[in-house]
Amino acid sequence: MKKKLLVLLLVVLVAFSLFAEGSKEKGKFPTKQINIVVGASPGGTSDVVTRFIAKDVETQLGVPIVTTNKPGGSCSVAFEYMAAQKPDGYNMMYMPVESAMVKPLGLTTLEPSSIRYIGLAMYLPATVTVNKNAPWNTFEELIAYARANPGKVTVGNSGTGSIWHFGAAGIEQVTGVKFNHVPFDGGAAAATAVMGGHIDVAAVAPGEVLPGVQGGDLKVLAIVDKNRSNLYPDVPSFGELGYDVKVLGWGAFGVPKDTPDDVVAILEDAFGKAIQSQGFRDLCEKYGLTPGYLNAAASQEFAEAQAVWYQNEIPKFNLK
Amino acid sequence: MDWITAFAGVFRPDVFFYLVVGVVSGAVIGTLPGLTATMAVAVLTPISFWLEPACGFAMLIGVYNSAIWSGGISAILINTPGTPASMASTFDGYKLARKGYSGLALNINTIWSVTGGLLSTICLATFSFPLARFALKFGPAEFAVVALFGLTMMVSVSGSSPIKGLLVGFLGLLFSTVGLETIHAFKRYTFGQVGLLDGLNFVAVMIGLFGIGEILHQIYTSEREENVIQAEVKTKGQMPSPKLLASLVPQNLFAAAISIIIGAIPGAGGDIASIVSWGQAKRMSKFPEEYGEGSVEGLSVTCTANNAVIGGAMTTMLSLGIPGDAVTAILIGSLMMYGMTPGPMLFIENRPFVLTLIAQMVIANLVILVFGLTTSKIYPRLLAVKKTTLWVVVLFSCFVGAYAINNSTTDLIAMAVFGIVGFFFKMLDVPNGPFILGLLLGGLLEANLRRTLAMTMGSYSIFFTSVISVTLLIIAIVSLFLPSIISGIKKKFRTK
Repeated sequence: MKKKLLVLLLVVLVAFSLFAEGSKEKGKFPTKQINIVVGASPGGTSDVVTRFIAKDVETQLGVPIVTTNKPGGSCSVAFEYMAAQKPDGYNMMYMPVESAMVKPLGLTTLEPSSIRYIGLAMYLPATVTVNKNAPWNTFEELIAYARANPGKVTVGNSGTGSIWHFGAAGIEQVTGVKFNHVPFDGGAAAATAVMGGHIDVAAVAPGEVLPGVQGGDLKVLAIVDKNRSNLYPDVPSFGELGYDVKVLGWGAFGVPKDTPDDVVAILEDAFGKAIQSQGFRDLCEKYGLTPGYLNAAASQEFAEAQAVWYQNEIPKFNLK
Repeated sequence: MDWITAFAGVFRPDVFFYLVVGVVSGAVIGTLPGLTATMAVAVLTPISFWLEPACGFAMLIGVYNSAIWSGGISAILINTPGTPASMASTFDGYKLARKGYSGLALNINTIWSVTGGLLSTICLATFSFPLARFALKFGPAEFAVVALFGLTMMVSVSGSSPIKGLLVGFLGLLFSTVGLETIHAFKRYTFGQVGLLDGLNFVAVMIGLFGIGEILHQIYTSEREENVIQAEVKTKGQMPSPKLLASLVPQNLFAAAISIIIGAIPGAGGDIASIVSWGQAKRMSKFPEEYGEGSVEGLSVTCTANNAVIGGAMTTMLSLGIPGDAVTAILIGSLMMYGMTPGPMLFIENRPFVLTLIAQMVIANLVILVFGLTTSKIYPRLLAVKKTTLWVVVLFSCFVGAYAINNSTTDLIAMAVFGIVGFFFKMLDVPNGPFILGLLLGGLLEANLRRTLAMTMGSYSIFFTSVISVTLLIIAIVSLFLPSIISGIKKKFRTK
């Protein structure tokens, strides 16, 4: 009996110690390891960007920052995980453009307003890329052909409901043509199919078509952005061609919604510095990303506006 | 001259050191079920950025080759493929180990893995461009036919009971439909679970079916009958005789050729290559009845196959900048971090580096050969511990491995559920192979078939106008029906 009481007492005491952490010297942040979750596989753009920024922030804050990959469901697996984490600043997530799309896609009930953005790092334009042997040498020639042959031009994207699926649809909207959309398992796979001559166009990210372009198998006809891309200085942008840019990829960082303001301020500052560093700018150039910093408040506003846009656009696609 | 510099470069103390570090860590990670070659490379990639390119890549190349090779070790010793690529090695390897030939099986794995690796490296060095160009011809239509061809292996991997095999094979196909469907992103069998959106994780299911299922079965049977796992090394017949090795050469050359091409095709990897090679070798073998019952021949082709994929995948990666499999996708990322873009230009602008990579592939394989043959005595001894201890260790590493794939609890649950399924399969003498084949290829077949039809606006004619597709279809049909036709003819003659 005595033994049982002792055990019970111990359990109660140990249980209390679990809450001990909360009362530990308030106001000092960070004191331990910070975790960042990436909702994509290792090696992709999201992963590379996150790990690069994390390394910089690590030296600024003096605590280890560990990047973990939780791929699945266009980042919704990681999104749901993050929304359920303790809002203490030690749990963070890379928030890609998909975070504004997953709710209208019906993958999860979470949306940008369910999370607190602490800063936007970069934008990612689509390219309009064709095989080097394709009969079109300019974007206008391609569009003229597509207009004369509605639904005949096969455009590969990075998957149904993925950002470049809407990217290609955005091109359709502003040019008034009709494509035949072919979903692939990622942007690189779509670029490969263009190289093999299986489809006509790949509307995917600049970095994904780079090896093919450098090897002379692919040619980029246009960059779906306001300005030209550093990777393809000779290729005209949509801005120059006089078209609106409807869809642009982007990447930001976020924390659970109820993370305290002072903690957010510290993270916002550190991430802001890392994002605006020369090192990150160089990385962006290498991967064909457009560097562009937005602070916490601005990125929150931007993400929520994006969510509204996708909420309106996605139902038009009749995905389900 | 270039080559001499390249090879001499690998023997620089620091480069060689990192190469060996890569091989040893690859051996550990690859042996643990669930910790795949992809994961091994992904984990070491950030570390490699601290090093100069030659050292960093020495480590990655070492890990890549070594993890694929060592995946076969756990396949042989505990019936659990260390990486998906060594799935087919369980068919014969584990049977051999249970017969007491674990030492022989391990050495066969080492020797033929290295042979496969070296052959594919030679391909990489000599005709990477034509090979990569050929691989590009595999579009969605051709890919669908490859998947279909793979599915015809279902009968081969069914063992003694093709009916049972086909039944579970189609069950595997059914399970491959879980998740978001490719064309309309329609949710199938997800039951509102976010974790199921991407379907059942193949590696998790594989670990459950093979690893957990096997352990549960051993626990269940151990009380009734004292059937101890014979994991000790037999002193005799441990090193394969030159005669035995020589007799395996033709089959393995064929397996290497198939696998190099499969490796070069973007998106197809060691799992498909080894199973296709095994099935093809069985069909062409003089002793097909031994396959699945502990055939040295069967084991050797799977070992050759999964390592031969590496050279093929590297070929496409280096010469076109397209990932041939999941590992090379990560390698592209690390090349770009070093400021080099893979593709034809790499061979012109950074020729010495490409030669260094090829030299590293060769040396890494030779290190594996020495390391593998010398350590083959240790591995079985590790397993000769008390059975209960072994079970706990294997169960533990299965759980850790399954979680580590995507840091997902859904994968853990899938592994546990399929562990129980694997147990019942074993009790009912139902083969695992066809199920896992259905699960692996079902998704590929469906996605590529529907992708093709989306491209062609619903016309099937492309399957009959593409030369590759027609050839593969004919081979598939012939290899599916030829054995029964031949045996039918033989019977007729005998009755006469």
